[in-house]
Amino acid sequence: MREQILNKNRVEIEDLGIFEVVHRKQHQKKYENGRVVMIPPADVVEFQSKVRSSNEN
Amino acid sequence: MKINKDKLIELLVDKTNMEKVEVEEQLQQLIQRIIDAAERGKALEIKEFGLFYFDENGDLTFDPSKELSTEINFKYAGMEPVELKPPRDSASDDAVAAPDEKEEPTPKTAKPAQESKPESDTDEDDEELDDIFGLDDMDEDDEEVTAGEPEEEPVSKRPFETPADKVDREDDPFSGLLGDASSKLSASEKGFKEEPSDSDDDEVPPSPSIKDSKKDSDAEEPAGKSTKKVPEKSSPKTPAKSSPKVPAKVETDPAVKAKKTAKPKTPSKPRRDPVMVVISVVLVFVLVAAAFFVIPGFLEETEQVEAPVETPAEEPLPPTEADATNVLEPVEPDEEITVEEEQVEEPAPEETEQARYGLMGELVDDANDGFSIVLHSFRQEDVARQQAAQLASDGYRVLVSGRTVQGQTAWRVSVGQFPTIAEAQERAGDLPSPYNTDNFIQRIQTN
Repeated sequence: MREQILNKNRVEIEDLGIFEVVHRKQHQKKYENGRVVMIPPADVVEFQSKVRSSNEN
Repeated sequence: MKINKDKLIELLVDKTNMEKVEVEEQLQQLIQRIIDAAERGKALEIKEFGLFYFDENGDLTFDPSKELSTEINFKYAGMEPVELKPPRDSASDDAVAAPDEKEEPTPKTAKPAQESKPESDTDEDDEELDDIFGLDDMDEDDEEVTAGEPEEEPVSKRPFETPADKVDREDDPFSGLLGDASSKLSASEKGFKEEPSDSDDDEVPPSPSIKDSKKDSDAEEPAGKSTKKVPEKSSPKTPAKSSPKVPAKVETDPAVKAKKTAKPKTPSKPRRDPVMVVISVVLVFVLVAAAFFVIPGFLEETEQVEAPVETPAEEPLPPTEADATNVLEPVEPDEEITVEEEQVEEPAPEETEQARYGLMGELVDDANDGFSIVLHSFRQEDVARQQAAQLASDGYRVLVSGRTVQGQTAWRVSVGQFPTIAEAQERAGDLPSPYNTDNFIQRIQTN
């Protein structure tokens, strides 16, 4: 699974969720205090869960 | 490419040589363990993969491990956020993108400007002052945000130092943005009083004419600065700068004239006194004759250089004569003449050279204090060098830099050398199709 994620493949496991590598572009982030910071681009793993806690209810 | 559970099981079977049923069972067990642990309120961590847990909303959440994140983000490893705008300035400035351009160049001038507000009264000066104050903050912030960048400041300083007395001032300006605040602060503490000189020096070395023609993007600020610089600098010590206390307005006007009119000498003469005009005309003739017969290329250089010098001082009697007399008759203003002569000689060699910053051409070592557009990132240096050679054959300034992260080295191929991030972003749009969108900007790193 790790290998497939590293290859930027979308891994879908029905009982668990979806692993996907998403590219975030370089962007500017403005803070409330006025600071503006250039955030570098990045590739990150995003996980979409298909499982919810059974204790929730 | 999508990998579902069945495909994943197939891959695992191929890789582990285990039975499919066995793999299915193990995978199912793993999934069940993750869910069970999460439901018990515990987080299950899979080494070098990540952490599974239920968040406050009851959704299963996955936090990738450091190792996994690093490997996935290998291409951009080591890139750190860069602060473009300090807290103070942000309140006053509305737009985010616009200020970026100004702020980056400003850092160069920032420190000197603080102390030397008085010299220029124009609106531009006020803007510069604002920028300057902002820059100081930025420097401090930058130190916090980017720890490793301080080294770059000295690089920017070097080029300017060589020319003449201006070394110290130039150090502050450009590198300030991202470089060490400490170095900048120290420079500012030294007490340089000339604001524009620093910024100008960085962007435009000695000759104003070159600057004006070359820089379109920075036209507004740099142009004004360049003109201002010429007079200011001349007064202190360096040859390029003639009259120090001439008002800013006057300076700006001459700069425009210089750009529009290639040969400013003739128009400026009629304004002078008749006697002076006669003398100057005679001198000019002699000078021209000497230039033609003795030194062929000398005439062109002198005209180009003299143009900016004469125009700034609109009470021009001394400067024009000085120019003429410099070569032939050193009569009245010996000191000024010598200074002007030096100016003339200096810009000439730089004109022949390519611009310090730019996208195309040969790499300029002095421009390694700026930013570059990264187009490729490879794990093998050979491939990176190959790609770099291809880009270089297309006329780009190509840089190949390596960055080691957790034992692996990413070889980044970047093009162009730019003084500011904003300028690099602007030029990135000019790149051919895949590159104009698929790129990122980093501070130039020379390994």
